[in-house]
Amino acid sequence: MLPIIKITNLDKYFGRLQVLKSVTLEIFPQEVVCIIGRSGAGKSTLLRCINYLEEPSFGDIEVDGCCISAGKKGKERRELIHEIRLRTGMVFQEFNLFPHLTVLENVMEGPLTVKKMDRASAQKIAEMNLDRVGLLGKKNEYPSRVSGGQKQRVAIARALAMEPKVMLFDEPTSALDPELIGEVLSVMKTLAREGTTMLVVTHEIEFACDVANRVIVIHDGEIVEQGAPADLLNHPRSEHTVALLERYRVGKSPQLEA
Amino acid sequence: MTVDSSPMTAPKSQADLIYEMHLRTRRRFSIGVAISWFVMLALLIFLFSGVKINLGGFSFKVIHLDRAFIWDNIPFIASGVWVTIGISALSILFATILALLAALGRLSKFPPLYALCTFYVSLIRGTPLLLQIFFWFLALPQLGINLPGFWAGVIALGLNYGAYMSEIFRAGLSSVGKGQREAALAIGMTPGQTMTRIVIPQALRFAIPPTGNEFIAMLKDSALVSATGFVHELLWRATKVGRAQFHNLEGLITAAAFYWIMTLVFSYFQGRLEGRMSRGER
Repeated sequence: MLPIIKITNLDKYFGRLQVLKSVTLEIFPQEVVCIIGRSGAGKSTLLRCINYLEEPSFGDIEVDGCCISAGKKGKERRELIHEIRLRTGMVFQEFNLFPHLTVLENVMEGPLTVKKMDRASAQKIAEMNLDRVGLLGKKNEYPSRVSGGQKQRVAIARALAMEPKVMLFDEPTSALDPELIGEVLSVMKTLAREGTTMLVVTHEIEFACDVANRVIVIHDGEIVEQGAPADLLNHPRSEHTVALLERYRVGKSPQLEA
Repeated sequence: MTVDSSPMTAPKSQADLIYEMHLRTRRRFSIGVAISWFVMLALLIFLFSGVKINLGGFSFKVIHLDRAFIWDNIPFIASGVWVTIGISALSILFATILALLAALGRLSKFPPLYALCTFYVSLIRGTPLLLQIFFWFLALPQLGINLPGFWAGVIALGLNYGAYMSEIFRAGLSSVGKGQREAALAIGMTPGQTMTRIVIPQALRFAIPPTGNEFIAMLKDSALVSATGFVHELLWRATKVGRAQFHNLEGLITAAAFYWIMTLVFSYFQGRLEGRMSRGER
């Protein structure tokens, strides 16, 4: 089986600081892969390099047969990036809904402007995807009128409306109040169950256990360990994984004795 | 403990009482301000009323205005209001377009375009507005270019305000978060589509209220073009009749009243616009 995403020897520098060190990674169709690691490890940068929101310094990115090498210039580069962005859907930590458009218009924007659909078909697709995330009833609201969890679900619908080959999630629940995290995770679980290929940067280790086929641990810009969640979480081999899980358990352990 | 049950009125909660007190304080302040304004206005009118005052043998007269002169010349001066509004409206339109282009050009990675925008802003901001106005009216004819007065005024004011307003639009563009651009790019929009469909609409929303302020400022700065003698707007008309009949005091006061009223009217609408724009924001 051919991978949907193939990252080869990816390096990324911010100024003189190297945040990704020769990362190589393949994601296969219908896989759900969670990337975990401490803040500043390079998880988000890795994700953002895939659709070129960050410009990789070295290395190749291939998405669904569309391959671009770092350092390419000009028209060909523009076209390749466009092709890759059409094949990937992205969900941001801060939602980034368009505040001047209604919920429905937010989801219609891609099909309308990028795919040049007529309004009626775009609206049909948008409504179908809003229904998938359970927010068809809010279609005429402006983003400022819906909760954070709902915003993120709209953002998911907006990405889905472009029918991407793979969904990229950049800490989708990190900006949410604790009581709103559940609704977003449950939408993501449904997507996973439906066979959507997903690459998720997250701090939600429970979610990773439940849903992921594979968990990748990143430390200091390098993949230090990867494997099935049960193996990795129960028998971590890397000291960094151990430390990460340790911190997670300390943070989450109910203080019964206290 | 029994509750005193007076069936007539429901007891007010503490929150209600505090809120009412807050409202009363605010209302009292507004009424105080309104009365003071009224008194000051009355004093100002009185100052120009020509009334004779007798204070224990010491008598003096406040400034006397020739009302008949004002009355006779109001139609002539008032017809300048439309010229003033017209030149200001066209100039602000021109300035807005220039400002948006200059602000966008500042985002360009193409050196000559970026340089052109900063050059324009620097040149205009580095020279006096009155000089620029004279340049379009007086210097160009020497080169054989004769612009109609009204349009020379529009160009001079528009170019000048465009440079200052480009800062407003620049702030507007940078008020749109990076995340908005990224979200648009991520769904496959081109940088151009991202600009026109996502960034500029939000930036305009940010920039419209300050543009209203600039328009109000322009109403008054448009008076500068009267100095050239070619545009028959409010101030030009006031000084023309004033000088001719040695009634500059009356002429200028009449023009001042028109400017002030225009400013009040447009400020009112500006305030409402600002209120409406700030609603529905995040």
